[in-house]
Amino acid sequence: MNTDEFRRLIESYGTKPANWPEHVSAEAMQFLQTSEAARQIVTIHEPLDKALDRHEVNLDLTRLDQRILAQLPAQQTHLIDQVLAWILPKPNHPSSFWRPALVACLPLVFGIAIGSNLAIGTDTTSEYVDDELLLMALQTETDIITESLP
Amino acid sequence: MVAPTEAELVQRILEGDEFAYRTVLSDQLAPVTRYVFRMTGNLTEAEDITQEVFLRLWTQADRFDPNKARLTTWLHNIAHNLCIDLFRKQSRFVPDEDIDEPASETSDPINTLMADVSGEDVKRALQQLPESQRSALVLCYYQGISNRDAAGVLEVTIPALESLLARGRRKLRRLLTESDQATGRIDEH
Repeated sequence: MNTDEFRRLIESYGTKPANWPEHVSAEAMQFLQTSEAARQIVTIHEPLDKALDRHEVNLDLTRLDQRILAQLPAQQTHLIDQVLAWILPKPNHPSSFWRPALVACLPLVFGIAIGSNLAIGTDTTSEYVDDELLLMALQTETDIITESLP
Repeated sequence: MVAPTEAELVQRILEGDEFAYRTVLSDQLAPVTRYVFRMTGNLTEAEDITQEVFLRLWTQADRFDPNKARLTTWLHNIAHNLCIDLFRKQSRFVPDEDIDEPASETSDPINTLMADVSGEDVKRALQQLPESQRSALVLCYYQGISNRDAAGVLEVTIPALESLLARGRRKLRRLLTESDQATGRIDEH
């Protein structure tokens, strides 16, 4: 580093090494320790930094913090995203186990409900055939008896 | 326990996680408010702009790209743009002029004057700087933001940022010594 580079650094970033860009900081510090011209540049610019330090900002942010949180609108997410977020919560969420299990059981519950109400698969046709055969048999019996009467 | 990264926090905010939002709010509220206050010089305006910045964090978190900028840079960038919008609305916008201040190589009289400058004088002088110079100075000097991040907030290159800083500091120095001379403090020395 030379005097011009050091001057440009101080003119831009001031005399506080904490504000200097990281990649030149060590080099500039070394130059400052060895160069009288660098120390003079710092002496010229230091009063401005001291003046800047007098502009302190002390704000009570409690009220603003509460104001921001109070006016937070609900997140605008799609219904499907909300459903998926409910079914699959984050891994550390207490519901992360039972919600997917509940959703997985839903088809079974629906199946049982539908099955018990509709009674699909019960063969009722054979009962009707038997009834008809019985009626036919009774009819035939009645005819024989009727014919055999004088 | 490993603290979540900025990207993870923002992802959780996107999913509506209020705890993640509160974490970012507690970290970033003070620096963002201080930045806006130093830009506007007005507490009510600073609070309104800061509120809008954090509202955007909640509603537009999907616009944050962790590969492009740090979260604090992104929030400061929103705050900066809102400040510029406000200044334009109020016709307070002072564009950056290319006229350079003469560099001062003398120290003694100016240093003596600077010793009497108060925080209020600095606040007033800062308000007289063009917005880009003021913002560069506030970001790099007060906010402790790196030159790369400050350039990102202002959307300029690093050499352009350094030019803004140098011109801003020179103008500030002149304004502060002028204000001191105007109030007659030079006579005391």
